[in-house]
Amino acid sequence: MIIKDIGHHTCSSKGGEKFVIREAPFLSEHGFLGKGYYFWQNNLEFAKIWGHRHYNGKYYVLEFELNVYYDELLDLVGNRTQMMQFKNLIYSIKQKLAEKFKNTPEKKVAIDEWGIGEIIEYLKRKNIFEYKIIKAVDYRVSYRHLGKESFLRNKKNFIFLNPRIFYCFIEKNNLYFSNKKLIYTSDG
Amino acid sequence: MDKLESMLNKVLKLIDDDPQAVFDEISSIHDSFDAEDVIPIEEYLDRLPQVYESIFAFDILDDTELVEIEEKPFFGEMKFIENLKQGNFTPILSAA
Repeated sequence: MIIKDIGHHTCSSKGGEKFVIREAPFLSEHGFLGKGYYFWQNNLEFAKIWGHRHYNGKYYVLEFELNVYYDELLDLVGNRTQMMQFKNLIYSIKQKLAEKFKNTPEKKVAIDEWGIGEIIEYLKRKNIFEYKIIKAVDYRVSYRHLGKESFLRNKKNFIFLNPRIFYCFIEKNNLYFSNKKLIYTSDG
Repeated sequence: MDKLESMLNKVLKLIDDDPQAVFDEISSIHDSFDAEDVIPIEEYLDRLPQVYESIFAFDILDDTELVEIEEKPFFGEMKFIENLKQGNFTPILSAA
């Protein structure tokens, strides 16, 4: 099954428009989910904030019409089964290593500090990681930007209508898209 | 067996075979990611105007953003935060 989606890719404006349109997307060496090609899921606002803060205000945003092959996707946003299994994978790795080093407290502390991006990167380097695409959401954003809305007037429960969802395509040859265009330049 | 289960079995076997090697390799990746976050002070000072601009242009000065800024390990940051809180936006570069 192929899912059509819009991806917004932020990149430096170095090299100029022609170069960037031809070569994009660009590899991120240390992204949240390890090395890969990153796209905000249909979110120009977050793409612009990222560009402003990470490229000295000199950046472009390109829009891609992505073809996401569901069989190759680890969906940590909407697939509850995959989320549970992935959580179990991360916990199991950390727990097993912690047991192996139970007499070395500093190593146990170090293991606790590992993020999922670092563990995913390890699995990729060992050719164990069996997905080509990862979809995730970052909650470290202000409620205003996430589009917080209450469900009901008299209840405190709420929903985020503008989540900061992103794709990581691990390799360029697994990145399929039907169109790409430059939609924003920071210099106007 | 699905993909995640297969991945789990493979990595647990690697841990059983050589836990020290697994620990060392993930630690090395962790350290390399950390190193990426350490920005040379000259570059950091160059970036400050963009930090100002992004805060004002996108109206993102709230608790989340303050935490993010406060976690950056540079000497000017806390003064920067204090200046923002007091409405004084000018003297941060001179603090260097």
